Formats: sequence, structure tokens, C-alpha cells
Amino acid sequence: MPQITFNVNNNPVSIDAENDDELLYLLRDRLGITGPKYGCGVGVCGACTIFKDGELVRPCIVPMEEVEGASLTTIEGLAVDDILHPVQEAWINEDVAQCGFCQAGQILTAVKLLESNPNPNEDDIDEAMSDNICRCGTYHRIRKAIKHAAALIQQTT
Amino acid sequence: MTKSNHAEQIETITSSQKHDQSDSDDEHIVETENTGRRKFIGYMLKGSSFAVALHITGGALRPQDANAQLLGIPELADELDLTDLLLISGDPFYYDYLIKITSDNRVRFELPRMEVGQGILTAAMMILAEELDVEMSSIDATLSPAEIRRATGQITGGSHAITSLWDPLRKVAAALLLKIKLSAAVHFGLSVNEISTENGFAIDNDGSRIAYSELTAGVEGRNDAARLAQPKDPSQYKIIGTQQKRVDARDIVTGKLDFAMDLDVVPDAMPTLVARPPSLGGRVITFDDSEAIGLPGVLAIKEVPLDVDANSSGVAVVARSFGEAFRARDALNISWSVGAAENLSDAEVIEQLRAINLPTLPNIPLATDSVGGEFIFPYLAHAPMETMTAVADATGSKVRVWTGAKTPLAAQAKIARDLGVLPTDVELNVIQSGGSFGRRLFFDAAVEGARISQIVNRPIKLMFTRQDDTKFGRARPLSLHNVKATYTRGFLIGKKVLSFDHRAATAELDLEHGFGDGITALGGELAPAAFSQTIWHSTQLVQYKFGVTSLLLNEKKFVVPTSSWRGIYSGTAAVANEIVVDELARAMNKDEYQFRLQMLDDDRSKAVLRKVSQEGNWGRSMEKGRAQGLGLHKEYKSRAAVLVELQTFKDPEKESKVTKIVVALDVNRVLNPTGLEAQVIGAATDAITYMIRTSLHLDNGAIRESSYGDFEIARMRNTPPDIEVHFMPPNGETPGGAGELVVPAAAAAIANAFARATGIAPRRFPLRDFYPEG
Repeated sequence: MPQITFNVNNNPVSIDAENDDELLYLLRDRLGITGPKYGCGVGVCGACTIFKDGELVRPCIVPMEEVEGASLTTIEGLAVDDILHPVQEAWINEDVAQCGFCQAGQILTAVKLLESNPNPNEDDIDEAMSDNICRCGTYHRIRKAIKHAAALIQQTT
Repeated sequence: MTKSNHAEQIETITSSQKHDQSDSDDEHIVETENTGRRKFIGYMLKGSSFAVALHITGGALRPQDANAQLLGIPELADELDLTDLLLISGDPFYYDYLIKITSDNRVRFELPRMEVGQGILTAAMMILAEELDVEMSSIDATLSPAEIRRATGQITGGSHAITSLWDPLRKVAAALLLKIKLSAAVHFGLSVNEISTENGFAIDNDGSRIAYSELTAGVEGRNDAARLAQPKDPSQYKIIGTQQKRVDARDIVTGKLDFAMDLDVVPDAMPTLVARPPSLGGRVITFDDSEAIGLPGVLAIKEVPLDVDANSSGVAVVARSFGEAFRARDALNISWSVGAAENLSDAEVIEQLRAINLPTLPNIPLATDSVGGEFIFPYLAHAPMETMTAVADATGSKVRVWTGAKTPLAAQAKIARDLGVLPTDVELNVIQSGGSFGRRLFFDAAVEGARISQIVNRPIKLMFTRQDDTKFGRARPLSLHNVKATYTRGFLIGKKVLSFDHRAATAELDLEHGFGDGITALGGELAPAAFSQTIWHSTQLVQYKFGVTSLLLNEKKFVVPTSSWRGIYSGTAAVANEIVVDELARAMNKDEYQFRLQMLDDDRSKAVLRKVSQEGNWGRSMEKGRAQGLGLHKEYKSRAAVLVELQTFKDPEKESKVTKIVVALDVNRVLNPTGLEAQVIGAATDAITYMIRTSLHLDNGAIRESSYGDFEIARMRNTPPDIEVHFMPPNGETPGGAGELVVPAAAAAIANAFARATGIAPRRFPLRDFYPEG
């Protein structure tokens, strides 16, 4: 049986590839990594967003064979040894979450934004974050938390 | 519970009963008062004509106000609102909490309500920490499973969670603290007055400390004696009223918070999807699974049995992963019967609603004029981020279900009926969920999941796909509102408002969940139409001195399954009213703010209105195409005023943009300002979604939309950076509700700003579909 080998949150994984599951269901149902959520299944909401080799992807539309040899980071792998990423810290400080279902995707999208643009303005935030849906309407606090995180990152570098 | 004037009046009616039992203890009197009130309400609800009952109510409740009946029929909601109905029916069961002190001196607490992101778990823990003198971080809280003894005391909805927790939880905790102090007094050989408490320890006057865990095991079960307990004076509060972040914030940002589909409670519960019909009400005639059954990971394929009401759903597919289930579902060959409403579309629903709507009062020729018109609000999906989900295991002697349910006892009862077992044989575990907005008043996945688990004889994880959730509802019912305000033309004296009429005709709102139980508990068996009438009349009012007011509802059942959407009827009806208030102001040549201030009959509403006017700089000059708009709402014992600024565009490609939101709220007392602010901002964002952006469409018996791609809720770019929320100071009353409060006010403010910016009278929504050049 064909095997797929990749790395998720710094752990090597090798799993049979007898089907052609999308990556989301491989992670959630077969590897028990449940941080990425099913929100739409068609790549329009962003609730399942993860990093694949440093780029944002939506695993609900990524075929599993595309991850052969890749390195994945899900929300579970963002904090290092229980030390939160500044974006996670800012999310707690601004009390962003309501139901929390979309926030893994929001946080990872914000991490990517701040990596490429350490000091985003309102338009940059609109542009980077408008493809992630939050049904509770936490956008206002997400905006504040991104600015807060930008300041935290600047303090530490 | 708030003892407002009308509550005292109701108690006057029951005073003879109280008198008969004058030798009973206080606890009994509490029960008797409730029984009396419940009988009275039951009488009211079962009156042969609701309008007549209303009249009696008005007369009986305000005998001192002889003019009341001449001025018009008072709205029931002014006297006794939905919050009262829920509280009165739930109150006998509220003094029942599990608060255990564990051997490591932590507090284990179960909340008999549902957390869906609205922050009530955090707020309840604040109340408990405050009254028990423990730290928030020493409380381990979960949600109570369905517990039959809780009856109507385990309902979350109608924005009454905080109001209904306030007295009972404070008093049960205060009674436990007193018990702890008494034990400590014995331990230290002192009088109870010499014992203080702090962070989970009782302390004597020398500073010697003993842990609560050495003194008590806590409380569990019904505890009506606690009704007599004396909670803290608000002047002593250290936690209530302070900013407290969500207790699960860290778990959320690290991906550790488990939703139903993340649980590992039944290790071999397998991913399950249902193939559903192409149109609403369609049924499986035959199906062929030969291409699906052999696909990788597929474990079972079965037609879902009809439920006890003979409703069909489709064909269930169980597989090792949801991806495999998707593929097997798509490989099924199913022949469907056409739904009963194959030709039904929005236009026909509107036409049929128009035909059943009751007439408004006619104008008096020459002497009077009127403003208003017909408003139409479309079907609307709740669209919580987490779709309907449930883990179900019907393979053993007990049926076990894990799901997000705001009315868990109704869910338990329905599962029991469907499976032909007793409710006591159904274990229903309530799991924190990813949003509700009214959707989780129903428990469709739990019921369907239990049936599927039984038929495939294995534990399953049932998930509605986003497409299932969008296409098969439930939805806010489509509604049509004829609103008309009449005024004298004012030839000699000034113009004067004579009447305000609202005639609503809506697709029937399904209320046969826990609200129904709550109301049935008060009024005996009611037909579905009476549920609707009760909710309508206990929520709808006009808070202005507009002469004769009458607000009436008529409903008709259509094929689209429905559920209350955040705000129930107020999210539409109250919005239409506030739009007409603006139009009335302009017809009388008055400023919209000044006119409201002059006509309001409610001081708390005047205060929040003044607040947004000051903070939002009402009347400031704006560029062409931009305008401010106001909206007010009074419900849940609370008041809200919203001022928005809106930018409109002539370009049909561009939708109107809210550029600023200012909100003022009077909820009697704010428990957690940061949690409440989150609810307010969320509610305002909801208003942007449904007033400006999106809706569902019924198209030949099926819902046209399927996901967030075409049901386009507000996104980051649609939300203004400039949002201010102001709270009025505590006024000594029981905290009112707020989860839904801002929805109608914000929605009205948006519509009113649109009208002021464009000169267009908004009548249909979302605005971008009906007025693309505004």
C-alpha cells in the first residue's frame, strides 16, 4: 500500500494513502489533530487554515498526496514548549474569541501577515484577513490584537 | 427576579391564595406566588381570543390608569415579557447547582446552560467566585448534561441566561459560604462573625487559615432553602463588574478547546454524513450503493429511518474519515421524490403572506395622513461556524449523545420518542459549541444521529456539511410587515401622532423546542400558533407615545424549516418600526433624535439615546452620500441605542459601508464589561450581515445558497475600525439580557442612515440586492 510521509508540528508521520482524502480529514480523523476545523469544506471560510512549508493553506481543499515530504504546522504547533506566540498572547489580551471555532485559522493568518508585514495598517489588515470568516463578529478585536501582536513582536526583536 | 410594578400587580391578584397559607414558611410562599402567577398567565394564554385576554390584562394590571384603555391596547410586553415567562416557568428549578469542593481545594461547578461563545460560562464563574470568595482560576466548570429534574430550568435562549442565574447562583453560593463559615467557627471555637473568607480559605481573627475542603464537600441538587440566603452587597464586589477574559481563551488560541467533533469520548465513533435530497421535503425512493460501498474506508451505508413525525432525511454514510464519507456519499445513486413544494419560491411565499396579513387601520379622509409601508425580510441562515454535529451511540442499553443543545431536555425527549425508549434511557451531554444565533435551540443532528447509530448499530459522529446547514435550514422565517403611523395634518394646531399599526405576516416560526416547554408549563397544551402568538406579544411593543398602537401577527407554514434567529421577531419587526419612527419624524418636520426624545415614554431609553447622540456627535455635517442613523430597542429588561455612520455608493458594484458604530446600553448591571462588549459588537456585525449584505433565496422548493461563498456574511473589510460601546451605571435592578438586544437597534440604525444618505425609503433587505445604486 502506498505511504505518504510528512512532518506535522515537528513530528514525523507515515500513513497509508489508499484513498485520496483531503488533508483536513487526514489530520482530523486519522491523526487526531483537531485544531483545524471543518467550517465549509470548500476553502471559503478559513477555519481549517494551517502552514505548509511556511505558506498558508486550507487543508480541506489540499489533496493528501500534495503533502509528501512537506512540513506542516497547525495551531497546536504554534506555541513552542508552552510559550505562546505573540499573536496568541495578543489574542488572549484582547479577549478576541467568542465561540472560538474560527480562531485557529484567524491566528495563523495573522501570524503570516505579521511575518510579511511587521507593521500593517487598516487596509493591510482588511486585505489579509477578509478571507477568514468569523460568524461571531470578532473582527474588531482581531484588528486590535494584530496591532497588539505587532507591538509585542517589535519589542522582542 | 425584578419586582417591577406590574409584577406586584400580578401578585395582588394572587394575594388571597397567599393569605390562605399564611402559616406556611417563606419558602412555601415563594412557591405559592409562582403558582398563582403561573395560573394567571395560563388563563391569559388560553383565553379564547388573545386580543380579549390582552384587554383584560391591561385593565387588570393598571386599574389606576383609567386612560390606558382609551389610549389603546397596551402591549403585553410592557406588562409581562418573554423574559418574565421564561423566568416564571424556570424559577421552581433554578436553585439547583452542582458546586463541589474537591480534596485539593478546587471548586467543581456545572452550569445548567449552554455556552456557544456568548460568554455565560465566564459570567457564571464570576458570580460563583465572587459569592464564594474563591479565585476564578480555582474553578473547574463544565456544562450540565440534560437532567430531567431541571425541567424548564435548563433552557438557554431569549437572552435570559444572566437574568436567570443572578439571584439563584448568588444565593446558592452565599448559602454555601455561610455553611463554610459556620463549620470554620466550630473548628476555631469562635462565633461565625469572627470568621472571614478569602481565596478558598476560612480565616480566624488571628490569621489562622483552614481550606474550604476541610470544612465542606459543597452542594449538589435542589436547594430551595438557599432562596433565603443573603448574597453580598454590591459595594463589596471585587469580581462582578470587572473586565474578565474568557476562561477558555488560552485553550482556544492553542487549539485545545474540544467541540463535539473533536471529542474522543467514544473511541470507535465513526465519521458520518447524510446524502440529502435536491429539494426540501424530497424523499428517498430507491438507492444504489454498489459504487460507494467498496470505496476505501466505507463502513456502512443505510437509509435514515423516518423520525416519529414521519420526516425523512436521506441516506447515511459511515466511514473512517469524513473525506471518505464525502466520496462515498457522492458515489451513491439515489432516486428522490420531488419535494411537496417544488414550485415554491420567495415570490409565492411573499404573495401568500400578503394574502393572510391583517389590514391596518384606515386613514380619516382629509384630516389625517400616514407614513410607513410594506417591509419584507428574507429567509436568513444562522450559519454558525460549527455546523450541527453530534456524537451518538445507540448500541447499548442507554442511548448516549454528545451535542450542543440549548434545550437539552427537549432534545432528550425527542430522541427518546424517536427511538422508542424512555427519556431516562437517553444520556444527553451538552458540549460547548461553535456559535448558535438561535440555530442550536434545535438539536437536529442529535436526533438524526441517534437514529443513524441505531440503524447502523455502531457509534457515530454525525456532521452536517456546510451545504446541509445552509440548504436544509433551519432559517429565520421570511416575513412581511405592514407598518403604518397616522397623524393629523395639523391645519390649526400642530401635527399630532394618532396611531401606530404593525401587521406582520411571517412564515411560521418553529418554536417547538424548550421555549415551547417553558410556555406550555405555564399555560397547558398550546397549539403551535399559540406559541408564536405568545412570543410575539411578549416581545413586541412600541416605546413611544403614539396614541393607539396595535401590533398583530399572522403566520403560515411553508416548507423551509425555521428557528428563531438572534432577536426572534424583533430582528425584523422592531427594525421596521424604527424605520417608520424616522419617517414619522421627517413627516412632522422634526429631527429624528429630537422627535424620539420627545415621544419616548421610557426614561432609560431616553438616557441611552442621549448618550449615543453626545458620544456620536449626532447631527454633524457629513459629505454627500454619507449619513448618520439612529435605532433604539427595549427588551430583556434592557435598553439599547445605536448610532451608525454609513457611506453609500452610486456604483452598483459597491455596497454601503458602515464607517462608525456608537452603542449605549442599559442592562441594569454589567457583570463582565469585556464579555458584554463582545456581544454588542457581534450583534452589530450581524446587523451589517443581514441589512446590507446577504440572505437565503427559496427557489423552486430549494434554498439556492450553499456556503459562505454565496451566503456572504460580514467580513473584516465590512466591519468599521471605529466602534464605541458605552454602558450606563448600575441601577440596583437585576441584570437584564443583552445577547440579542443590539441586533434590532443596529439594524434599524443602518437602515435609517441609508434612508438619510440616499433619500430612498428602505423596504427590502439586504440593501445591496434591492438598492444597488444607493
